[in-house]
Amino acid sequence: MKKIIISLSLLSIIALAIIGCEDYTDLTAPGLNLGSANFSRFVSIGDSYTMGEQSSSVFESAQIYSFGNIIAKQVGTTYAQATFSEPGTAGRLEIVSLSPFTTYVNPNQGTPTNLTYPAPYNNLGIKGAFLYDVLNARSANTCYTANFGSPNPLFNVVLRGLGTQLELSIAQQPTFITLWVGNNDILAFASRGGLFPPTDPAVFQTQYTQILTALNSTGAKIIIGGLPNALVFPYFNTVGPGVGQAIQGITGAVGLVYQTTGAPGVSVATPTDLINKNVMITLSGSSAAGLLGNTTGKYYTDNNIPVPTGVDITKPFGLTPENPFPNNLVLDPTEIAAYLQLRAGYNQIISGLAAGFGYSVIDWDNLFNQLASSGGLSVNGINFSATYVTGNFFSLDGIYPTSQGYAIIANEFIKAVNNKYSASIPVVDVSTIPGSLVFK
Amino acid sequence: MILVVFPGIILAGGFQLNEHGAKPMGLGGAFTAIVNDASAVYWNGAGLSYLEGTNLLLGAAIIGPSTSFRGVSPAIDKSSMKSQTFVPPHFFASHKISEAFSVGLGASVPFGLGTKWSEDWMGRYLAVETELQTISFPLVISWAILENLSISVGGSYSFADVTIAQANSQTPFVGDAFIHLEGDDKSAFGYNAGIMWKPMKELSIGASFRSEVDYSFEGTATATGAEQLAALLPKGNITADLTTPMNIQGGIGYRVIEQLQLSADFQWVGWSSYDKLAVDFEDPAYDDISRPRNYEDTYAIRFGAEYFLDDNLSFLGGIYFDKMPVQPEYLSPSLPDADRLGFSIGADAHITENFGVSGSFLYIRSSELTVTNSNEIYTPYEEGNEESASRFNGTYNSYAGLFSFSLYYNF
Repeated sequence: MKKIIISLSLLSIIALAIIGCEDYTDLTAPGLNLGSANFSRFVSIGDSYTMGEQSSSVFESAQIYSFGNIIAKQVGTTYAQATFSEPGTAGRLEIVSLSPFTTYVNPNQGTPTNLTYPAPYNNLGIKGAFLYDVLNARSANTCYTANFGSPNPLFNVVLRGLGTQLELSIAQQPTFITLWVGNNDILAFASRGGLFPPTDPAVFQTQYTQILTALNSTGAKIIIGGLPNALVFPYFNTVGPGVGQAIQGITGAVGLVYQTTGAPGVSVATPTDLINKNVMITLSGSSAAGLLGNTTGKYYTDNNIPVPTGVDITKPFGLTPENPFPNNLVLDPTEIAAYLQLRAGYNQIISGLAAGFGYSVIDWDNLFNQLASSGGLSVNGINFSATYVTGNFFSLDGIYPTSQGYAIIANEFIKAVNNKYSASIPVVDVSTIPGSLVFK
Repeated sequence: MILVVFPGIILAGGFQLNEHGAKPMGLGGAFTAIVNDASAVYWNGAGLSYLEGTNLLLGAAIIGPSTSFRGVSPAIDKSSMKSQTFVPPHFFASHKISEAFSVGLGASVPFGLGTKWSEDWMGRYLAVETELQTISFPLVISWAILENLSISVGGSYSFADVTIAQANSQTPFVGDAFIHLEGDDKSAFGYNAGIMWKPMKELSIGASFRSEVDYSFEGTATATGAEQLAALLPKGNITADLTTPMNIQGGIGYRVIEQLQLSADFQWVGWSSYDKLAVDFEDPAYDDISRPRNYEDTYAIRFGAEYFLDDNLSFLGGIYFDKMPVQPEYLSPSLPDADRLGFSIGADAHITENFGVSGSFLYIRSSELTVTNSNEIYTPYEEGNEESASRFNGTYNSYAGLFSFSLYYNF
């Protein structure tokens, strides 16, 4: 028996010794080549795109996939952001059902979760920021839209009274900057049916020059985002064609009768105009589109807008000059032309200035035209297109990307860095980024 | 939207268990030619002819496998399988009914596996939880044709159950759905045969054959996910087929000196029986699953040594090499596999004249396996885009520690 005990203890010791050797061959991460770029202090200046807005809101689970944060992960640098707890800033769109497709606006709001961060945020993107704001805004009450009666509280959260976006960028002694500003200076015009005044090109030129001159003095490397053609976004392409088809089915209807900005006050879009997107109805007009032909003023009561003088709500909505489809929901051929001309001008200003300073500008047309093309764009096994919801690229607001869409944007920045600064930063695998359209 | 159900599920793979008795485990499984206890029912029925009287053997193995994955390439983030312990039992009994004939029966677990990864790990669309259990009840009759030559035939009744759980992406919508498949087969049959020849007192030669077993699983699928997607998530009755491989094992045993017996086995496993994983949904609304596995026939080489200290105590040692049956590109994290080396030690002691105990420890080390051209797509993808989809390339490291003990009683 003694022998057995001794031998068993011997065996146990040998056994334990063997278990101890869990050898793993060490694997080494591939080296990162940043070329002449240096991301040790990486700052982003911008608007909603930079802040990571999705589905009309800014919320933490989406902000993780802001393009700046994705880039920061790929290069392994710190990147602080002004995050918001779920469900984010006011008005997040969520899906109620897929069939029929209905969304609703989440009435709740989250709160800022990173207010005590002891330095300016690396991500200085602020939803709703105009070019003016980069230079001037220090708070909600001093931002550009405050002049139009809409102080934007996000300026308080991101800037925290420490300075302007530009000042806070420079204060960080940045080594690398993404600058993607000026979108709202024309997007607001388009998304509100041509009713919001676009920034004057001369002013745009002055402000952009000031910004770039100031940033140039930091010595940081800069990649600039140009202004994409928003008219290919689902926000402008989802409702109109359906309305066109609906009107084709209404006997006696010639087209959509809509309000215009100047004389004669109303105009008509034929079904063909709508289907071919010569006249666009915004996504904000989708519920109004559902009222087409009804003798109603429901659009005005639903949105707390007084019925405009001269409008007779006892006439069929959107089909008669007496009760026309509201101006702010329609982008007519004049407005479309104006938008395209403005954008071309702004982009010219941006690329002219960038060339002078030696910075490279991302021309988004390549990406967005591909998304808008019939075949779309296939990335890492996933098809992306400019189609609302099923296109995977755009979030429920039809303007801002999904998390995967932001990854594609981040990759465009990374490619621009690699090109300009002889780096070889790996692009992110878009399919590893989770889906982000939120269900109610 | 993308809803590829199970881009890469797998029922099982190199999931054969060779732990049927503490003594054979201590000898590295080189036991076909030298079976001398009731576990012959599993290893080589013809060995029953050399046992006198009635023999009972009861025990279990305790298996603690461990696997880590580093990837997905070029990343080297490490994910580790959740730690689990499996205790497959074994029981064998034999009786010599006449000079010529002996019978035996038993119960053991010839195939099984269980892997569990965390619900949010990078490979969650390939595997979260996978479990397969088979229990087999063999019945064997052995005929001593000559004093030193015997043959056996037998049949076996088996049942099995399987559980597969994994996440499914809801992209472009937020979050994951979880899909859970469960099924069982309450009756499957196989057969076996064996031969054993002792041309000299010191030398024995043996071979055994165990047939394929066809399992037809029936069960149900359940899914949890966003309520808005409920109609798309697979559920309802499912069926799936699985054929466990045939085994042919041949061995030789030689008593070098009075105190030392050496044995060597070659085991051939017909893993090509497992060419694809297919799960059929009864409801035609859901696409059936069919994934190539393309397992290939494989082999193991086993060596064992038993050193007799005295009449009542012996030490066991063994070593084996087990060739992986699956090509790396078909490897799934539900069943990490690689070429394996096993090292075993053990002891066998007669406590009284009739009663004895054996215990052994086996350490299995899998060679590090780096997959560079995986067919497993670990992210959501759309039909037709497989070429550009993201493949689960990375480096697997596995090992396992096994304890086994058996109690035996002969009368």
